[in-house]
Amino acid sequence: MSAALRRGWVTRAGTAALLVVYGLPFIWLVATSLKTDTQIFDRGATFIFHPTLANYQSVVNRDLLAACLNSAVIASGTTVLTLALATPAAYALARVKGLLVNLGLSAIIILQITPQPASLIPLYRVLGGWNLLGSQLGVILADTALLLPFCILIIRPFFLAVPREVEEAGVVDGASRMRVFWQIALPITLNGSRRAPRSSFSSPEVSSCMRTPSSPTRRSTRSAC
Amino acid sequence: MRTAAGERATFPAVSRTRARLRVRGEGIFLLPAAVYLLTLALYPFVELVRMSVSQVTSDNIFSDWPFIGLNGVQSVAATADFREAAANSLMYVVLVVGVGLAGGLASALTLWRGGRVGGFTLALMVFSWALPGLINGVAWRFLLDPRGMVDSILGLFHAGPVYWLVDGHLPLISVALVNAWTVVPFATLVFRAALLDMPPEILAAAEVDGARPWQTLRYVVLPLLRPSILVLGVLALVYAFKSFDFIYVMTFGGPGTASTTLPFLSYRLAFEIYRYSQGASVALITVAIVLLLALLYMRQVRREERA
Repeated sequence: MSAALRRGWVTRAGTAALLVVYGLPFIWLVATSLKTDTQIFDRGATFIFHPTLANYQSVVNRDLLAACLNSAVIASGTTVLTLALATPAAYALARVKGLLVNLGLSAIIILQITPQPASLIPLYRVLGGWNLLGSQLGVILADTALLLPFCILIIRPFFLAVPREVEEAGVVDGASRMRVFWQIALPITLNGSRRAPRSSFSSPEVSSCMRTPSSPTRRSTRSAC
Repeated sequence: MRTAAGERATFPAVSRTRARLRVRGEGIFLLPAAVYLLTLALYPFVELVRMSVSQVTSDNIFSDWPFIGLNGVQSVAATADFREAAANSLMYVVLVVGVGLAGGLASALTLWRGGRVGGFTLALMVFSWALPGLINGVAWRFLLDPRGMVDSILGLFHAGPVYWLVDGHLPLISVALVNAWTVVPFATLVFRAALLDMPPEILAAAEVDGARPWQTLRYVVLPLLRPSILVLGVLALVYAFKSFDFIYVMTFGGPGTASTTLPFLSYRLAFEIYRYSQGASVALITVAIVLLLALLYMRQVRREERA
């Protein structure tokens, strides 16, 4: 079957169809952004036209700058806050075992899958009560609440991969718990995230997609998160 | 217990270290995130529950709420809007999961053996999948406009224009198909990984035994993909059911209520006509359904892990 697929016209036709379905919308959007209003509505100019950058010139203004600033503030605020909270939590959930951890992980997965309106509706009241509606800080707090569970699940496998013995060596040398986290566990995971992008995907299915067919096949083990 | 006692007898230093580690405890590192989630996830959820059993409108949302019990939940579940949204949700989920999984399987089989063009196609698909739903939704709303890409192509064949986001039940179907368009790349990644994990000897054996390609697919490949199909199916089910952003940007639940699903109905009730209690009730019902689906998923994953 694989040989048939490799040579067959089915594969070629299928690939061509996928290229059209996923490529054409993108090309269309780019092309439209380079057209004038009259060209957009002119059937004759669908594919052949004189490109213009006028649309881009008209949107690069003070409003765009303000929007970019907002995005930057909210994105960086959310990232910093989420990482600051998620990293220690992921460490704890990778080290401690028992009922509490299982409960915590289940709660995190449940938070991850609740429909957005279910958190939007009460957050409106909660943030309103703190006078945070319509402020960037309010958006950052809400975004962090949405992202935190996901981040914890993503970071946890990194800490699972850090050998306990390294930390114990630190304790024997008299390091405090905090120092073990800051100067031993955390640097090792940072190193890991650079060197082994494979493990950065919490789901083994995704990580095994990154292999080429020629590399040695290994059975992927499936994990709960 | 016995090994622990044995350890203590043989290696006192090591066991003392272990004991110290245990006493110090890493649990403390959980505290900041736990406090945060208690305040900004659990507390709002409690407020949601309280809202659903109280009378809350725009007048009193920031003051006291009169208690009305389960009447609110019951009355909102009995409305025609709720029934329509439930039917819409069902239709939406069936389309997203069906088209997403079937499309993912087909494209995984197509891109199985890689090659330069195949690799490029996969990268393009993953790019579309990685874009935020809002961006994809806005782009498709534009592409599905009567003067957009799809109707322009139909026009080349002297067909259309079709009013994808306006006509009858079409908006719901259009949005679901666009949502499925973003599910297909993910399903492709998962299925392709499973295909690459398949021992080539099995396929070679099937070929030696004279199986035709579709027979290999039906009796060898599909049974081996069963675990992936099941897990991905439930995952897509949860994802499709809670989908919100595509409807928000593409149709805003309209025209009328033609493409309003359950999560979107709760949003409209709360933020369009300010009936927060009713919105909270519908939101709670959707949470309950999602939880049920999630339990199914976890049971499936556990069964796969054992197998």
